[in-house]
Amino acid sequence: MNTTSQRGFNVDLSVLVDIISNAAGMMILFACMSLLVQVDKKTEQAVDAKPIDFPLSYIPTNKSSVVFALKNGRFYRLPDQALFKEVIRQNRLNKPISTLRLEKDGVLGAIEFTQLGLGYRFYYKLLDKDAALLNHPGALKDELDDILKTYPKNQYYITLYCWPDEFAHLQDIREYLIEQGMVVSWHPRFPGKADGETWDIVLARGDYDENFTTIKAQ
Amino acid sequence: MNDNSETTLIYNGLIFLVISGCILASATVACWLLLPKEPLPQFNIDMAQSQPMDAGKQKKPWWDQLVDGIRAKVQGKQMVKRDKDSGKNVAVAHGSGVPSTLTSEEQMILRQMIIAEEQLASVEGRPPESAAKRLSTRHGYQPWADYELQRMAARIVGMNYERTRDPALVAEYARTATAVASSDYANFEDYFHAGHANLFAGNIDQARNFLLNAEKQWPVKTGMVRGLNSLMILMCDAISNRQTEFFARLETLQETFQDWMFTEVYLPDLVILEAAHPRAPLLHVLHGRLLDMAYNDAAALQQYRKAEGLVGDSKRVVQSWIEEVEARRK
Repeated sequence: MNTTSQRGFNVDLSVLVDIISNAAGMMILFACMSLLVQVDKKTEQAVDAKPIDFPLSYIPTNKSSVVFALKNGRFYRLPDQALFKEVIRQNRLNKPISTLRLEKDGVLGAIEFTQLGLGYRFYYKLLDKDAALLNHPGALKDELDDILKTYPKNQYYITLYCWPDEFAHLQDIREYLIEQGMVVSWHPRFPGKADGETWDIVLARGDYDENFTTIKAQ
Repeated sequence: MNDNSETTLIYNGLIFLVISGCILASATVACWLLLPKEPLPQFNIDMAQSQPMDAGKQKKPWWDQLVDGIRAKVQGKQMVKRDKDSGKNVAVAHGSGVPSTLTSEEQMILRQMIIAEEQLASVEGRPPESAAKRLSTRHGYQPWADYELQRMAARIVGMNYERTRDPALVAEYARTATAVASSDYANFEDYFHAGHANLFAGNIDQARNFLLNAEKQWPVKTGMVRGLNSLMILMCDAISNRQTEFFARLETLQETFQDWMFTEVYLPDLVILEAAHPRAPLLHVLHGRLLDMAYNDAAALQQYRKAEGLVGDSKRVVQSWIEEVEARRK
């Protein structure tokens, strides 16, 4: 399969045939691979998908819950990571902890090693200081964008604890997070309905207590 | 070779190089666009790194190495307190009568650190095995330290199995979880995990014993995990065809497992077991009953009808459920 160019030399087109057939083969391979990848993604989504399309609570099995709170006109991040780090720091000093407290970003947090010795219980008091203000849309958006960056939507779902005065903000925040593809659930909280005498939120990991239920999404 | 043929060769070569280059470039772009960008599961990478190919000699898994490392640093021979009558390590009771699962302050420090590292890894989205790598192990060898580290290793394998449902992890999960549950220090949580691991490893009788032990020692009567324990006993009974125990427990499932309506948590496991035990019709009965409770009538009927080979009372009970669902659908 030869052809002569204007300059008088022969171009062997059989090389082109080889190349084109190789390219076609590679394209078919890539098409198959991309199809397989798509199928895998669909399977993964199906496993973790919302079972029914209306606000029925469910448990995203492949995602961890991360909790935030709206109160006092502020948006609070709960300092669970800081508490864990402090426990580890104390343990490295060869000290066991029973209860440990710290204040961070406007939240007074306490961590308690459970009586059974299999997990931790967290107590949070939301203080009227330091946390992002809900009536500053720019700062709040930055805060939410930072959260979305820190907690990827394929690994986490967000739970918002909300007090009555902040319901309007809850709606906006929830809509924004859902628009960004994040799964969101929320829990209404009422004055006087706080867990215990002084704490606004009580959560646990690895605790066995009849008063606790699994955090669900909607 | 004359000038003309040399030019031809050079031009052919150039055409070949240019087109090949284009194809390689487009293939790279296609790879970048189409293939997933997430890194390979960290667990597999770490396992591979910690277990280099060693001709003729298989290295121990990293968690065994971790335990051995501590064993090698024997500093003292202080033993934990043992119960004089039974000769076993017993939990020290404190607080309001709820038993602790710890026997000494040193054990508490290590347990606290392990749980905090595990949970911090989970909160920060790191793979579970990163918790073991960050663990500061200053303890000399003590039986409880051995137990705590094996417990951590078993949980890491378990968490990876729960996350991926990778069948290649099941044997290791069962081995490590069984070792932990066989310790004198084992508690209901260890029995639960050993039951879970052995159920999926196909050691049904062993799984059932662990799960029954867990149920006996469970500190509360409610909660998702306790409900799952009860459900897994049902799965064991279904696979072993223990019809009497199966139907008796199934009757009280809604009371013992308040979170039964969250089918997304446990139905994928049931499907895995159905595939692994195709001759266990009671698994389909269980599957059908759970869907029936959730008013998923069409799917429930489908599962009931898959339960072939039932005889006697079992057949009659399932037939009555089929009739109930059909009547409801009309």
